[in-house]
Amino acid sequence: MARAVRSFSVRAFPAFLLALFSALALSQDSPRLRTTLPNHAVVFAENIPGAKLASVQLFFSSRGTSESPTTHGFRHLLEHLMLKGTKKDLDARLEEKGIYFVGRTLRDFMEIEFTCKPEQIPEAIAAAGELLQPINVTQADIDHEVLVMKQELAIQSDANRFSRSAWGTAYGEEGLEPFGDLAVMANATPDNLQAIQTAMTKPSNVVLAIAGPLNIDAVTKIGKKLLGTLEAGGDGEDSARKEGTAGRVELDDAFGEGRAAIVEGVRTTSTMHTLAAALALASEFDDAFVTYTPSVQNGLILVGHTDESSGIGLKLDAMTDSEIAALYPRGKMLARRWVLGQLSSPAGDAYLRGSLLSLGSTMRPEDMIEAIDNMKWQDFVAAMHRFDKLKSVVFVGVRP
Amino acid sequence: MAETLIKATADFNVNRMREYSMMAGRPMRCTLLPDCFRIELEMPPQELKLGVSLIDGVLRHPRFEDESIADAAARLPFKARSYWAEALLPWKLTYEKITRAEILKLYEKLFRPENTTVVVAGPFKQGEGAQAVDDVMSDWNAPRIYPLRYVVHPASEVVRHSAAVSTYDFQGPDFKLDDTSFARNFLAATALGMGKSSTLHRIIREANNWSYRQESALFPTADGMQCRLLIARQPTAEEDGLGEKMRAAIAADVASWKEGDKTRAAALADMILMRGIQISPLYIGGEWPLTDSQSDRAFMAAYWRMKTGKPWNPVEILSLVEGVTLDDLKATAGEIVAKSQLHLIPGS
Repeated sequence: MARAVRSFSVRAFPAFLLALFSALALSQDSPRLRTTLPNHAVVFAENIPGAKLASVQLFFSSRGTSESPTTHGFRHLLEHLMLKGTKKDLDARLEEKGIYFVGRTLRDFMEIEFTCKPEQIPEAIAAAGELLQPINVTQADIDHEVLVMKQELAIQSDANRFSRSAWGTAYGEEGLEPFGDLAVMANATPDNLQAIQTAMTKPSNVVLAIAGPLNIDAVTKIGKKLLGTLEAGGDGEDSARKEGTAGRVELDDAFGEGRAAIVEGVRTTSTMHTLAAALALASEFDDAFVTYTPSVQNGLILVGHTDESSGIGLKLDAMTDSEIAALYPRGKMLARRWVLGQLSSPAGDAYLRGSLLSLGSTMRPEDMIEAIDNMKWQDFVAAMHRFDKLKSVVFVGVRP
Repeated sequence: MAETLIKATADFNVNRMREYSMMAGRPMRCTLLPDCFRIELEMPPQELKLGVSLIDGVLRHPRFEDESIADAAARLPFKARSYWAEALLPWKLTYEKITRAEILKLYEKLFRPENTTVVVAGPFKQGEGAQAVDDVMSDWNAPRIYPLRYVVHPASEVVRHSAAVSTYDFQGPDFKLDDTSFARNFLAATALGMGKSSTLHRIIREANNWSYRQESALFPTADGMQCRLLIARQPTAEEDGLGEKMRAAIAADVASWKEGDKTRAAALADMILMRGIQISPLYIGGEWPLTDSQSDRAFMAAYWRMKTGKPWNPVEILSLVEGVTLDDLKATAGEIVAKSQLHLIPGS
């Protein structure tokens, strides 16, 4: 039954004013240990004393299984099915103990994140191990999951729609977004998904990252025992993504606007400078977003908003170099905060460090901080110009 | 008022307010919630005094400049919101007839010391933040006001999302925030809509493919809270009948709950209340549930005291949650489902 309209009533609304005085300092050199196994799998453990939670994250690099027109979305579909567990009751078993887990499929990796009490780390690692087992799915399971993903696609945010289109404009088939193509996924078979899983779980593609209040040696030992069982095999390779192309894209199923700067891999210092510029620009607007996932490949950094259909582009086009330079201290501060903020929690720490390791990169978050700290104002101005309309992908959403 | 309150004060013009409030990278925010204004300011720790000055200015001496009001009135009608925000707060407000005089009258009625809680959170010694606020604001005495005569125009509602997403919102009955009611409803909300083994996920998403996103939300009302079950899906030609099918399916599942369902909900409740896990049914802050951030924890400390007169005590609440029996849990959840009013907003 429909709800009647309720009158808006005036009453004494209390006001809360929060003054937050944030000190985003890294904890004093918490010990951490990265162990590369003989089969090339990696276990990473970091002790974060005093944290209330632990985070156990399993990464599968997409080396050898990158999106292609004929497999577009298979990894995402696989993630959905893997997370059910071998007996399709993994969520119930874990949640009964208060262990919560989610999965995410990005271009360069798939990530499964388990959040638990510190004393439950061994259980969470065991659950991660279950995801390394070959999946057992039927065509009916696949068909069912594609229907769920149809709903997922329908409710994608406007920011996601902009990202998908910007990547398509900049990189074409080399920038296929990881959600996938429902029509392609509908043709997936159990054999297709098992093949992807086999390639994905080659030990050289696997990283286990754990952070929280933990004993590094004890946790590493458990991780090594799990990943050490993986059979070494032909390591997947991916060709380098081509250089991105500037352009413009207009969407009728989204609202908002922004720009996507074309950037190199995360090892290139100018990429961190561009992130600083994006964050500084976004801070000039009330509800702007910045989208960036560190990658060793060429990529994009997006800055946009979805509550208004103009503003960011106008501001970018009107700013002089001295106005850009005035944002330099803020950009530097925000970029540092972006990195340090992630490292301040077990989930963020395991995610950032684990994802960089899964890229096969020797890059560490500390290298990102160094690139930011060494950034001069001239670097920042040059980075902001990467959002110029002729150098970037301009995206506009015109949904009424 | 929420948009213009924080723009400029007697001591700081628009540019200065922005410059100072951005020192920690995020501008001051004022969010209008169903039962309060939430005003947040982040500053570097060494700028405690400046932060308190900014706070004092916003609370006691906002300028409400004509230009800011006109700008807000022009922008707000065109400001888009996500489908989720529209579902949570389905009001379509109009701004044409608002005058500065009316805003000032409302400000004088609401922004009074007896209505206001200031929370200072950060790396301080005990009492340091409170002292800093006291040094500046202890002389705040708002003048006596006469009863406010106000013509209330009922707000119109969002009748269709601009996005191609339909939302089904089962709004349960209001409940008062005494300890036992809250504990029962918190556990019920967790069992109904938190996690992959919740009723909403298993039945609405997995069993019936009716949605991808479905959550429970404990949402503030004027006098307490209500439990809402929110479901977002692709629009369909069968919208009208679908809501009642959903209700029936949810009710049937609740009736079948066993001790394991209660155990699961209690285990997740523990993680939410005590550990700040990334999911929560506490939709008190706006479009997103409360998190374990410093800002949200500080807000909750003040908010709970306002709502209940008591400090926010997760340990005590968890103890009550763990004492809820299976029968109580099923009765509470069953009542939420049976008595909820369905509010459907179709998508475009």
